[in-house]
Amino acid sequence: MAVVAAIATVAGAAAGAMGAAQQASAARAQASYQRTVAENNAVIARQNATTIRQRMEVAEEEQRERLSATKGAARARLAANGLLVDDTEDSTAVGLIADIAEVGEYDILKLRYNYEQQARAAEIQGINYDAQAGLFQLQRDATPSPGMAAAGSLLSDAGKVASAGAEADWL
Amino acid sequence: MARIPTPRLPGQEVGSVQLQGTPTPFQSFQTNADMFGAAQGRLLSQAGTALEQTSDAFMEIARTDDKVDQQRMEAEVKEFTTERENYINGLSGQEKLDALKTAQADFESGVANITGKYNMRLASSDDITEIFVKNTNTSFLNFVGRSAKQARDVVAEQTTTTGIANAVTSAAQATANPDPVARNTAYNTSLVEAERLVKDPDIGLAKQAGNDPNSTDPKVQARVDLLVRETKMQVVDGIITALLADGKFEQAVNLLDQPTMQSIGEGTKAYSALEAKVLPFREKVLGMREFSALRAALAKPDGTEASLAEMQSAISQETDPLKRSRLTTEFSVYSSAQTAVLNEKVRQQGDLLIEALTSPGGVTPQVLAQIPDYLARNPQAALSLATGRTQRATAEQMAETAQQQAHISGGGGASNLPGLERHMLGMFNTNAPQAMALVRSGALKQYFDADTYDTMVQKADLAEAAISKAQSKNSMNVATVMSTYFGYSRADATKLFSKHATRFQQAVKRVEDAAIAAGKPVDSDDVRRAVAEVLVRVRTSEGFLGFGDEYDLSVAVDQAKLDSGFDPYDAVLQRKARNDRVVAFLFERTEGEIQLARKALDDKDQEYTLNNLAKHFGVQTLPELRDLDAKEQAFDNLAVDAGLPPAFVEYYLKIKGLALDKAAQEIPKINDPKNAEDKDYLLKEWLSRNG
Repeated sequence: MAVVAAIATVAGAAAGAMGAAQQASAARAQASYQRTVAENNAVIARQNATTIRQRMEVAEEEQRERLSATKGAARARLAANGLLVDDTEDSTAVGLIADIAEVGEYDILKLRYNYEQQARAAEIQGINYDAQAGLFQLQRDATPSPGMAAAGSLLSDAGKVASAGAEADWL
Repeated sequence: MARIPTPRLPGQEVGSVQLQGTPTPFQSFQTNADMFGAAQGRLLSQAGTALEQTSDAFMEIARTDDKVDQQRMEAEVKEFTTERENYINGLSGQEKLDALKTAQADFESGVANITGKYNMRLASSDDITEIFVKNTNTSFLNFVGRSAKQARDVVAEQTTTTGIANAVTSAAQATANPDPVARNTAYNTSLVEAERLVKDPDIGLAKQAGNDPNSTDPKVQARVDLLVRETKMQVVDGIITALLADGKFEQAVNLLDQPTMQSIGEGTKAYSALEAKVLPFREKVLGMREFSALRAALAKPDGTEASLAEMQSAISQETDPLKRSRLTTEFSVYSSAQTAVLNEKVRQQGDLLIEALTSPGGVTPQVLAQIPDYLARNPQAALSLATGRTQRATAEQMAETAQQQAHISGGGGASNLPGLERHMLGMFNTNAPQAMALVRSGALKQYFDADTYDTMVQKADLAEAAISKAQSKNSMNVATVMSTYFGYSRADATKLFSKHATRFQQAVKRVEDAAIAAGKPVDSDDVRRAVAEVLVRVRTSEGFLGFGDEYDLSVAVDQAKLDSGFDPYDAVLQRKARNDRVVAFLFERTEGEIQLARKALDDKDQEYTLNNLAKHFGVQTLPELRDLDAKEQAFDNLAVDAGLPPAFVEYYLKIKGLALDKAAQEIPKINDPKNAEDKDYLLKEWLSRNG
């Protein structure tokens, strides 16, 4: 019975070592994969930031065009109503058009700010993904190599193996 | 899929298309290690763990089995060890030493046989077994060592003890040597041997007591010296004891008073004990010396001793009361010895007279000259012998009855020859067959009157019957007595008798011996009484819950008394018909009377015991009767030893106004020469009153 027990102990230790090696290998592969995904996401985030800025420029242009159209329409309507649109600066018509221009500029600034915020968030997200990729790399590097894991497992079972071997009179 | 707005779409105005700013979605995958092969690894690990657990389980099973086997083996070894140790402990001395020679090898072999029966599963169990065996063997080796030492001590002790005992015996035996030089040489040899046995460097008593006899330490030397002297005193004690036992008091006292002995015994317990032992004899020795001097002083010029009366007179004139007391004591011994010698002479001369009486030549003057002491003790005998024929002729004419006439005409005597009747009665007690033969021969008929001769014939008949009965093989059967008279079933009676045959047979033999000694046939009533007494004097179990004790024959009463104070006469009797019969017989009553007595005891709230029954009947209890018998027997023995008929002694004490229990002190005085006159007068009176 002591021999059977010793054989089982040795087999158990070997299986344990193989299992430990395989688990270590899997952990490293998983970490590598997750690092790659994070790197991809960082690229995407940066691309998203670029895209947002491009949209910001288009939206600003369109807003300027609408402002210009609004000012033109206001001028036309004022003129149709008999108001002098090229009057002095303190005239009502000129003041009204100046107000429209001012508010319109303000809208454009807000528009730019909003888009800029989104772009910045995307850039930060990209930075985060870069950092995460670095962490996954660290995780991979920190995971013991399969050989080390197998050796560790074998070492931890060495006592049991020795004890069982002694009981079986192998030593 | 959503369509991008164009101006052609309904409701879509030119310039109203909004830019669609959808951000690119991120990659998002939930992964775990199993996707990368961790499951296989874990499975392998689990398999490994399972294998290890299996291994652990196997190990645990093996460990448990080994533990059980270990305990069984240890128990067996311990039992074996105990058996061997008990065996060796049961031996002693040389026998033990012999056994110890092979004890260790035998033991180790036995242990190996036991351990060989157990195959341990684990190597560690084998190690434990090996350690256990080594410890056991070592322990046994220690035991063997201790036992060997004890055995050697015992052998040494036995050797020295035997040596000392031999030395003591040799010295004690030497006391019988009449040669004082040889005696002293033997004493010295034993004393030297005693010293050697103490100082023997290997087995001596000193060595055994842990004292090196060769030590130069003054304290050790003092202890050894004391031991030597104590041992020597054992030899001296043996000598003194032997001397005292032989009555050599003076030698004993002189030996102990020797300066050498005092030197040996100084400071020893044995010497003090010997002093105490000898002390009572110092007075005796002094008395003997003084009495010896007195006898020498009173001796007549021709060397003959002074008479007892002269000695008595001289002692009475001694002024020192202590010396007078010592002289009186010695005189008593001396006179008793003289009396004993005289009694023996009288007995021998009586036998000579009877021989002459039964011979054809009859009693001649030469015979009379040979029996002066007998005639002095029986002064009327000579006269009677001389005038016997005339008396018979006269008596024949004066005979009052036909029986007397027939006796005399048949050659019988007219009166008794003084002293002859007593002599013959004594002979019936001591030598019944010879007395019977003398009476049967008829030669003595002429010296007895009709009544006395008839008594003699009856005694002879009884003696013959007793002898015949005693010699017959079919004496009374105890079991038959129990079944016939006491209600025991035949099976019970046989069983009890078989179980206690010795006790019963001793009781019956006492009855038979007494009958033979008394010159009468064995009385069946006496046998029944003996059996009954055995039956009530023992019990098997104490009664409980008021049922009374069960009487049987398994417990010796004397031992029971020692153990628990059991007294059969105070024990509550069981109310069984069987007991009633036994008790009725002992009290010579009927069973009905016993039952009535029991009822009376019940009414008086008294227990049903032999003692209470005796009180109820107003008779003596059995032990009292037995004591009385013993006293009477002792009285008779004292009288016969003094050469006097018991009846005369009784008469003498009565005349002197003394109680019978004073016989032990008074009987020696009867033979005292100074009382010779009184004795002769009273003897004549007693003879005349008793024909």
